[in-house]
Amino acid sequence: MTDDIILLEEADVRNDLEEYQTYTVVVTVKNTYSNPDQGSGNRKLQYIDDTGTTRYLTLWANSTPEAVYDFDFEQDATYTLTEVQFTTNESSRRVFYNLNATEETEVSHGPPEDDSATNRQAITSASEDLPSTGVATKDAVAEEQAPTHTRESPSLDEHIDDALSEVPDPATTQTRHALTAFASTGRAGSLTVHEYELVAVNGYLPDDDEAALRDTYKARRQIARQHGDRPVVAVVEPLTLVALEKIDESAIDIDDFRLEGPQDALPRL
Amino acid sequence: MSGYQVGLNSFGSKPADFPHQREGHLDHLTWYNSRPALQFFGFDDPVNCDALIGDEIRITVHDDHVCSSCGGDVDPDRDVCWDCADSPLMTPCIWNPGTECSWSDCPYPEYKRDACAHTFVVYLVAKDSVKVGITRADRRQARWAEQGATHAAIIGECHNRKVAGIVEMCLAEEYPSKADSSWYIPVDDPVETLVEAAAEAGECFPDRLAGCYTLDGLSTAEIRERVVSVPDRSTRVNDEIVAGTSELSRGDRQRGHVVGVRGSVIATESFTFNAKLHAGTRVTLETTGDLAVPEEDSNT
Repeated sequence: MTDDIILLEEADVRNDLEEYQTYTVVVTVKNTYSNPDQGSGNRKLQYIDDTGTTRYLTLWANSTPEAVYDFDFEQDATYTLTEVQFTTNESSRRVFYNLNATEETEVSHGPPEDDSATNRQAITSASEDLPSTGVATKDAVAEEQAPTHTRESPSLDEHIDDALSEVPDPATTQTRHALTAFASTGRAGSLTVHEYELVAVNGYLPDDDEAALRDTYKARRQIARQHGDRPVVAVVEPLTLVALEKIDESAIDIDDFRLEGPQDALPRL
Repeated sequence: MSGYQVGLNSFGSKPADFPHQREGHLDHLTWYNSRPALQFFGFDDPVNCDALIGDEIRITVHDDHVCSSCGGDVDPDRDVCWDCADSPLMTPCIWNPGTECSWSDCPYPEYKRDACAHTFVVYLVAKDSVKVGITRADRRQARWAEQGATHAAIIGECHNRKVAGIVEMCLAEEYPSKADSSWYIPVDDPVETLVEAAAEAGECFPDRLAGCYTLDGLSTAEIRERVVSVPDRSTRVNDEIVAGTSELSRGDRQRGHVVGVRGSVIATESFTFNAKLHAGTRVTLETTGDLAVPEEDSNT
């Protein structure tokens, strides 16, 4: 373990820490998490580092003392954790920087206490050696506690601004159609629609309009099946269909009907 | 000795006869198409839980495990691998989108496109009490079934995951958003409880997102019509008894007759097996019934 005390809010762990070293860290907790989908064995303390990046210090249930794992971390409060290990790993061409509590980790409120001149010396010399690396003196730690240095969490309004930042204004009004989506931002361009009629053959006649409508839907399914790429075909009314592309009537075999059309292509919205 | 901790019911006079077996690392219990099925990593076909009901099963929960998210190798003291731990679904922006999602500066744009930039719903479900949750609109039925709810009602329709997360965060002050996945005793009169909660929930929506509330101006009767029952397999289950039985832990082996399935839990008359708690763990499932796989849906 090093004698350095790392003030995580002023550190860039990627450059400031050595792999496999353990450190005493001072962390201002922005939030804590326990993701049930990850099982019951993890707790993450969220903080923001000197580069403005959101990072996490992880407590694993299997390797963290119970008193530390169950500690009641409060939002925006500062804590000192000892024996926190820094490791990295690379996967899928990404490097991950990990701060994990160890079996020796202890936790206390606030920055570390001023309990020994030796310790202070060690801290001071470390900070002198690395003036811009985020290894902080105790003065700096105390300074960090001043309200002017506290980073505020975004307000509810700021979160809503962010959430709606890519939503066009017209889309903030609902369509009132349950479970569809929000109003579109403009009208779709005009489409060319080809209209087809079903003409009964072989003496067949549907009994009534309902039977004719069923026959029309059945024909629509047969048209779709007989095409490699399913064409967009819709039923307009009994014995009338429309499609967004021309259909080769001679290549379509429909029970009791033949397909007739298209009529002149009709521009529709 | 087997080395496994066994229940008293495992010492029956009749020797166990389990002709069918599936052993593998457990993924999760899915309710796709309203059918409960146990997914194992590395197996194309899940185990049809409907086929287990009424049959005797024996479940062994081993000590070794893989990453509960992808099924890959993982350090023994971790539940998920490094890759998964730092990627959605395991990141805080997914667990708590209301406060942790950086929508306009998303570090995972492809995931955002595929999974977040869609219509999301905010819903209330009835379990042992009323809970609030969010899900992508198109997978709401599966989500409610996976949660093991008895009934559900959509109360909000939102532009994306973060908007829904903000609404959920505001509602969580009134209704819990985290739920225990174990077997539970359902709340009395879940429909009326949901109707009452849903009618009042609009007050919790932030003013700027009030338009997302979908029940504005609806009568109690109209809200009641919006409450849906969630598919489960627990009609033959005495909830008071099953909720009081032991839940299998790592290293356990027990056998019993399956009486029901709800959420992530398979219930027998003497113990429950919560698949959510054992995601990634190697599990041996033996049964006297068939390990049939669910039939393909004829509409898909």
